[in-house]
Amino acid sequence: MTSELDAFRATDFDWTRQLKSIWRDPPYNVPSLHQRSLDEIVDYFKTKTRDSDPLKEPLGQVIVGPAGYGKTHLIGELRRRIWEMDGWFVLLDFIGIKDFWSSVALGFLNSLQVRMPDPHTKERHTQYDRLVLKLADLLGISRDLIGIAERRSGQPQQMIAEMASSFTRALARRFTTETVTHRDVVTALILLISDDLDYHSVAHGWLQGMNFDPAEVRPFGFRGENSALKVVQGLSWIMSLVGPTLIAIDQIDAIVTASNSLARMANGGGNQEREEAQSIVDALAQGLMDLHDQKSRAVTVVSCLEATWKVLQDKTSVAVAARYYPPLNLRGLPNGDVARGIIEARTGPAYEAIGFRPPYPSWPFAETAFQSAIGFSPRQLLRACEEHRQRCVASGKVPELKTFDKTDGPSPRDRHETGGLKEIYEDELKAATATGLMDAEGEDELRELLDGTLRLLEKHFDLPDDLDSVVQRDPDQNARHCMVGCPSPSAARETASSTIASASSDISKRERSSRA
Amino acid sequence: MSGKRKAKEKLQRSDPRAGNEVLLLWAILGEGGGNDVSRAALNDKGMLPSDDKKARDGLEARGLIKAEKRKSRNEKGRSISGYWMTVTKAGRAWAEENLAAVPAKSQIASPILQAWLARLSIFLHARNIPMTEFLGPHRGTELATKPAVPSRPSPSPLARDYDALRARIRHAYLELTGGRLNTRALLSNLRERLKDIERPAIDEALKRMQSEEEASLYQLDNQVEVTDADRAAAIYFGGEPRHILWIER
Repeated sequence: MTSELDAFRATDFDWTRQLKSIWRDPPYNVPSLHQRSLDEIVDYFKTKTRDSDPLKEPLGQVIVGPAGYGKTHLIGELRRRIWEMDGWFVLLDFIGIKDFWSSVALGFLNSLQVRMPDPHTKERHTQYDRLVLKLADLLGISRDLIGIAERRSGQPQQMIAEMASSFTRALARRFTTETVTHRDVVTALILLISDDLDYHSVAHGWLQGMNFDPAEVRPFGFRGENSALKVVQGLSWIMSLVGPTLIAIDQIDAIVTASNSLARMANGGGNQEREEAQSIVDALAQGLMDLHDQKSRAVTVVSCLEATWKVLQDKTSVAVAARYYPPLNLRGLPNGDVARGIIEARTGPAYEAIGFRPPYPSWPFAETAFQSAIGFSPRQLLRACEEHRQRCVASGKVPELKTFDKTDGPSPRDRHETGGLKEIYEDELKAATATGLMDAEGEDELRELLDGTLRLLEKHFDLPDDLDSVVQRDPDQNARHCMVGCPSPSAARETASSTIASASSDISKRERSSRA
Repeated sequence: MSGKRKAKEKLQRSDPRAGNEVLLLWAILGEGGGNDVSRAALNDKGMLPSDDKKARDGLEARGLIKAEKRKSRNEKGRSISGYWMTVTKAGRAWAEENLAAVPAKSQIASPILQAWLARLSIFLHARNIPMTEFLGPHRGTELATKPAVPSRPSPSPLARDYDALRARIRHAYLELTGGRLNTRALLSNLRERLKDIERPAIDEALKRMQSEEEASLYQLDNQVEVTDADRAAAIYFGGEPRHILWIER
């Protein structure tokens, strides 16, 4: 028989959620959490995108809440609901943003390649496959395509070229003006089906907004200039013909936070880094506003920290209110029932899997404990449960937990003694000397300093819980290069390392000029 | 209606500075509600008309306000003296008759309007009066027959206290946010405005507002932003601080 300890040990209170996880239905779902925001957005989406060619593009929605309130979870739920109603779901990822529209185009392309279950047959096809099939259906060319496929069997290049022109001709008959504008994107979309590597890779590049030598791509059927913006406009229009789109933007906080910290640090110094950091945020802010004017039959949903939205709002020169509704905020746990629901969704499957029958489903967390969790963030509740689990594993016993309330005051890690810090800083600053640091003999000392500074910088970034970060010297560079990085993919890695890259290049520049 | 117009015309005819007097009267009511208001407070909020001495004297001469010089201490503990004003019964009666009399083109009209709208918002919420009841029905739809928010059972003495506290908190919040909902206010700033109420009572009211889903208490995400004042003003949930109040409705 499974012991109580073994059973409880088997539970999982992991609270991290990576961005890519939004494409899969979560193993634990608590419908009542954020139900209000979810319903509100889905209803709005349904109403505003019913018309395939709306007179006015619907305004975007913004969801704000601190870290750990389930923003990414909410985006995942939105994706599930949008797919259920046969809409398109596009996730934009601004990791390492260099150019706004390239990131958007790539987001569209990557999202189209995600597999979704068919609402009727439950078979999984990519959004892209469904898009092409629905489009052929709409244009009434499905039979022609089958004919082409049979006739051109064994000639992949001719087959795909004929299919592409069949699509563009049929589209032009119904939507002449738009087809003239977007024909290259249609061509690329069809070419992407091809098994022929040349066709496939040109199409893939085209849909990312890459520019090719006109002579080189003319044989593939491309006629005009390309840009990432054109691709986004084209894809969004094509998708709008056969369904509404929800464009989700999540996890932009690290970019904005990092850029802001950098701007503060660069304050008063040579301002190149600050300008670079600012320009990333400016481009993001302006881009999010412009997206409203470029999308077709789509609702944009931005989820971010409330402070991030504030920064973005301040950065744009256009009227935010004309493009986005005021933010919806995510709430902490409103009552014990929701708290219990979250925990039962974890304990239930774990106990069932090993055939353990707990005294009550949420065991060992008593009803009074859930009452004490009112006002917690979902993450905070899960973390508190995990702490109890670890204590139990360490002590070998599973006592019932009756309250999550530690004390009324701050926990030790939130208690900061900051008295006198300023004085210490001033004294240290006076005592500090930079003499000889830039000389060859000072190299070791400079290296230590740089390492130390980066460790402080690492603490400075407000990284999500699921990210680890490291400070390391760059083995391929000279001794004065080192970096902060995150082993798992994240905006923070890119932003932080570009920050460091520019910081170290600045040091090299100063070094060169001092030597000169 | 004609009585109202006549009263206004009479006031304006009898005194060329009537515009400033009307503004001052509405500013005192908007800022103070039922309480006395200092000239300094109006000045701080941009609600003091130009040549306010004449306006004050004029209003006092007509018995619409009472003004007196009082000594008080400023933040640095220095003794200062300044005018304190209160609207008399006659002043209130006049205001009731002339609800739309604020000269709209004056620069100080918008802070005054803001103070009044904040009061109106608190009043509507405290009494559970839906906006439609106040504005009249939306054309084409029926007048709402019941309040949008389910009314609570008749209040116990404690709940009455809560309603009063809640109204004070909402008022302070709206003052801090410039009359906007769905935005942040720092608890440290909020507590400054509620100094006269014991902290446990405020904390309980804030927690109740959160559990009734009209407000949220958040942590400041960026550690760098958190000041000592924020830490001191925080409310703790299971050992985690909350520094921000966010009222959504």
